Amino acid sequence: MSVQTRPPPRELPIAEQTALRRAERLCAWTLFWMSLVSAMMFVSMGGSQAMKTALIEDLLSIIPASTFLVASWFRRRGVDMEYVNGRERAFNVNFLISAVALSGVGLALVYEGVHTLLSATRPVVGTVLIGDFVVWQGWLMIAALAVSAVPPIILGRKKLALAKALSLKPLQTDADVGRADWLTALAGIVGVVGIGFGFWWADAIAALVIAGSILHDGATNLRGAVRDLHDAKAQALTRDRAHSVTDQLCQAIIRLPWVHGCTVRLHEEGLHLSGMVYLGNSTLTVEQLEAVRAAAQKVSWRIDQIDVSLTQTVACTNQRRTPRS
Amino acid sequence: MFATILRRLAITLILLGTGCTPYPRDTTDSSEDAARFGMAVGVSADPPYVVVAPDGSVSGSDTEIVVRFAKAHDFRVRWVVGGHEPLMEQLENARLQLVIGGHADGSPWESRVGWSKAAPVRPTSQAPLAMRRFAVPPGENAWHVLLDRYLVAHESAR
Repeated sequence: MSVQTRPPPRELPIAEQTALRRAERLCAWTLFWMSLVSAMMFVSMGGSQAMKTALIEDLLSIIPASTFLVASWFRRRGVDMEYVNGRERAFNVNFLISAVALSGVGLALVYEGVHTLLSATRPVVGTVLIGDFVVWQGWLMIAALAVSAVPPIILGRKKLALAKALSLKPLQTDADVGRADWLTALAGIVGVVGIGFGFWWADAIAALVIAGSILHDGATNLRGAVRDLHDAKAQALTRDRAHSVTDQLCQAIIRLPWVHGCTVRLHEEGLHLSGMVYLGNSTLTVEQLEAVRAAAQKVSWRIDQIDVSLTQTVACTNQRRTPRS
Repeated sequence: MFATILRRLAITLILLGTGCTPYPRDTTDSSEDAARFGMAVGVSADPPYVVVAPDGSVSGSDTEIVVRFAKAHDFRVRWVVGGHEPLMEQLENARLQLVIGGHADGSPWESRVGWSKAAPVRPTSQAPLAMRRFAVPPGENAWHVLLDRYLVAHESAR
């Protein structure tokens, strides 16, 4: 018995390769800064629920960045006799892990926030000694939270710009988590300031707001990850509409003089798009098959593996899905 | 949501910046109650630092620190003698302003109430130096700062 391996995935264009390297560097910096920030938060943390929640969010933001790095390394190893279909889905697994982690912790934090609120637990914020001067620990916590917001703001902006320019969806998720990070820090500051005013519940409410934002992030990513693992319709970077490449591919194929009509079904495999092209022709030669693939590859660097099939029920240029036989 | 957070933060900072309010404040006015009605101090026997005589009178190095603190701020002191556990429960609900004596390291109360800075005491001339700390109610920020400032400035607490 012999095993046929899939051809290696298309090389990324130079610009995208560079972007991916830059994204990896940004993720490495994220690991470095968020570890530092988490250590600082841990040292200055008092009994504030909001601050504890913010610390957990900071620790969490390490997960997408580190899984991105692992996924990127794993993907580069390409096709072999074990991974006969290649490793392009490494980034999809990256999504899933981040999403499950985010959702799980979001749920746990919502529970803790509600519990604190219902049991009316008052946060303990003590004092710290700076030189010979006694300072309310809340000030230190506010300072730590403010500092903790800086790296995610800077790194997040860079990641978002990179993700938008080069359509790197995993990086978009990472940037979203970064946004949740600094929002968390802001809400944490509100909570600590509230404690200082004697509003013990302000802290728990701020923690709940943060937990809600984490849970929202987690649920959105989880939905995206489940979609992608089901080879669902390819989506644009922002996930609010279908990927424009699907339409462009259909248009490009219909322009081939011998094509009677076509329908396209594309799904995402990490950075690439692969799928089926259904032609309304009754026969197909090897040369015609190669012509379709060549036309597809010209449409976008993202298009990788295209299989061609024949069917009688194509709609020329519309997106109506051809039923599976 | 973001806009709401920013607005609330701005209002809070304006209130702070104009200095129209003492900050940080207590959740249940421990500082004000101490000034108006005297401070209620939970006393749990812990000789030689906290000694409770059969007639109910209290003495010991910890009580002396409390008396000096009260004198410095013109507070009257009301001693509430009892078991450690019920006293701590009252403290957690801010019905006492302090609990002295009977605190053990690693007890479940460590994270549930606030702790003062530890002051060095030598209960008798032969006894070794011990670091003594007092339990304060959670969420009583101004009260906690007031106590710690006194302990650091006048009792060499660290």
